[in-house]
Amino acid sequence: MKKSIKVIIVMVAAVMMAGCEVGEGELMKTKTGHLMYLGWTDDINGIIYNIVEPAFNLNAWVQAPEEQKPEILQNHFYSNAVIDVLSDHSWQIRIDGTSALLRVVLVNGTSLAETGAKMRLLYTKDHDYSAWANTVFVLENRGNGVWNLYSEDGQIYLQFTLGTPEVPESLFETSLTIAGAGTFVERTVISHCSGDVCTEETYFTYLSYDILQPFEVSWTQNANQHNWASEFVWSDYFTVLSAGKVQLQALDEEGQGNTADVTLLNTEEIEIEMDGIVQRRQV
Amino acid sequence: MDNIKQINMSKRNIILFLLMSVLAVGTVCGQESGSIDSAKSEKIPIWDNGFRIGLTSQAQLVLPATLTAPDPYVKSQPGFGGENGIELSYHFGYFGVSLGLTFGTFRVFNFKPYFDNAPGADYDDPDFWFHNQFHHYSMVHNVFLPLKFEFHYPFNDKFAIMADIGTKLAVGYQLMMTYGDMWITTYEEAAMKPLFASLVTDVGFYYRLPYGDLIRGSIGANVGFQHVTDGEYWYQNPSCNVEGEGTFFSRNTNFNIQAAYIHTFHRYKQRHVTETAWKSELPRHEFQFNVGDPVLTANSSSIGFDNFFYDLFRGFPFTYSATYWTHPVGDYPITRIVPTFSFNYHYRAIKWLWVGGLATVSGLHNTWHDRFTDEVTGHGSEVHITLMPDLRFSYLNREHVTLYSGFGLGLNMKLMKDPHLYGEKTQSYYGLAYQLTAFGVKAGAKHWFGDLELGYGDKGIISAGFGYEF
Repeated sequence: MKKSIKVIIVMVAAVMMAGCEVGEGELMKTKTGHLMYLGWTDDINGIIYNIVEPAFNLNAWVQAPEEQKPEILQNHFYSNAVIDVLSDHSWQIRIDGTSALLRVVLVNGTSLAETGAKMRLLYTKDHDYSAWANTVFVLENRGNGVWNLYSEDGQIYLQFTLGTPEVPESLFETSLTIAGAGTFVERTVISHCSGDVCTEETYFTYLSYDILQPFEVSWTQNANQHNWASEFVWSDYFTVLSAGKVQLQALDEEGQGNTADVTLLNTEEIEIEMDGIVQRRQV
Repeated sequence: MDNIKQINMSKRNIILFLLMSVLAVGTVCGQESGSIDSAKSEKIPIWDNGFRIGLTSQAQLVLPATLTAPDPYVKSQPGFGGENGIELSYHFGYFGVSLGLTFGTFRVFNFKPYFDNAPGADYDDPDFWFHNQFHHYSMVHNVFLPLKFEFHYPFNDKFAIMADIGTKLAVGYQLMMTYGDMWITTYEEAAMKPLFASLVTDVGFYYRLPYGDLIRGSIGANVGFQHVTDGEYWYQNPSCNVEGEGTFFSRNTNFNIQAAYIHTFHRYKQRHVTETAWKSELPRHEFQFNVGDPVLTANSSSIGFDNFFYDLFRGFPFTYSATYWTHPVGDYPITRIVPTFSFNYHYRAIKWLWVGGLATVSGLHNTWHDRFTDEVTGHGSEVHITLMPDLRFSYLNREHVTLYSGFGLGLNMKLMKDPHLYGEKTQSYYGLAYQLTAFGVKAGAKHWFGDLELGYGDKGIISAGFGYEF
């Protein structure tokens, strides 16, 4: 018994002497770069799921015989999604009960299949402050599986290289690499309420990116939620970035900010360089 | 990289601490422990003393009312009655005293005409025959308070003989009643007394049921020495031209046979003996000192940059607002958190219920460093102090081992100062403190014990320590 008591006392004393270090500690040196990278990948994911993937899905729906259209709609869109045919080359996808809307126009023809084919896409939804919302994008077939996506205002440019020269029904059917450079305009809306009266202030953050080494995208078939028009949709696919390097710069409206170079070492680890400080950390 | 190793070492320390706690408790649990519930419990006698409560029921033969003068044409006959009630008794040694509350027959008139010898008796006259067969029967009930002194002597585990003697008090009442029927009318008036007393005595036996309650059978007598009522009667039988009158009185006198079911509280007494035995076997006061994880403190911290819980279990990444991306990157903090130290006092009010108080102290400390040179540029700290009354329920109470659960609710005070974040002024915040202990075990000997608790609250999700009890 005395031995047990001694063990307990020593044990407690040992714990008392050692305060546990918590949080990120020294990793805080590159914390800002980590946050910028996470925000940037959120944007990339948002564009994949909300702009590019629906574009290919709609193209397949347009090309499909009438009897196959319901199946395509069912497979790729939210269960309440409806496709309205506005003309022989324009459509809109909406979700009943929400304000989410994706307007799509095939600019020169009725299919994305031919090199040079372009599709204009505009995603809108009330109170959606995503960097890709309310922005007109053009998806252009450059041939041999290369697709350009750019915003008409010239801010965003991404190049998608697919593993197939064909037009896929879904991005998840093929491998993908992403390159490009541009700027995402992040909107942060903060509400200030006094009683029943609320006012909103919007802060803009300009996140510029320059992909120095293309990012490789793979899909894992783990059941996961993805976001279509800010509605949660269960999908069998999950975006995984496995390699690539991007230079990020975040600036506020006064031009103050930070720069970070982020190298994706593998699916779980990144290396961040900020102001000459290099640290590795978990994604 | 070094920093990462440092964090991992800290977590490893926690895990090591927890494992050692379990080991230590297991060590003391493994020692010999006795049970006060079985081996040391005191057995009470089969014919146990103390209070009993019973239901009584009796049938009685009530002696006839007395005619003050012989009447050739009227006979007063016995009647039958009954009495039911409860009794509360207290027994000591071979003796007992009981007080009952019963309701039953107080007096009976059973007047029977005998006109057979009347000069005009004519048995062929139906009217005569009808009157001659008639009984004048009247019964009055009352509330009684029997007070008895009892002697009993057990022959074996099942049977005991008993005898008692005492008095039975009847509540006084005012009775002015006139009864009448086809041939006789009575008028009676109760003696105006507050109480009527009679002598009661019984002899009988007890039969002990397997679970300790008793069946009592007895025969007895109730002898009244007072007139319960005085009355007059008069009669006429036209069929034989007889008229008459007389007076009578009655006493509450009867012979009875009684059965009673007596609840002896045997099991309660046995349990009581067992339950109170812990007072001499188990300690009443306990002081406990524990060290627990500071998860709750970390999660509510104002100076810790990262959520400890998410960091510990790799929760979903939190990107904060994009406005953070442009903030100047200045010094960085090394945040250390100390475990939660808790101090408990418990008083064992009853064997399984403890009341007490809990105080906990935990905190965080930031050491700020220059981002490029790593030089220390400042300090910040945050202390959480809680005070709360608490209750503990122990469901295994052995001499050496106790298992318990409990909860506490109280006040949490947070004191914080970190010039890098909030200026030079110390700030204080108050909130709710709580602790739910889902499972607790303590084990030890010779007043000392070690303990381990699992739960949620300011004391920690898991905590372990030691204590002193007496």
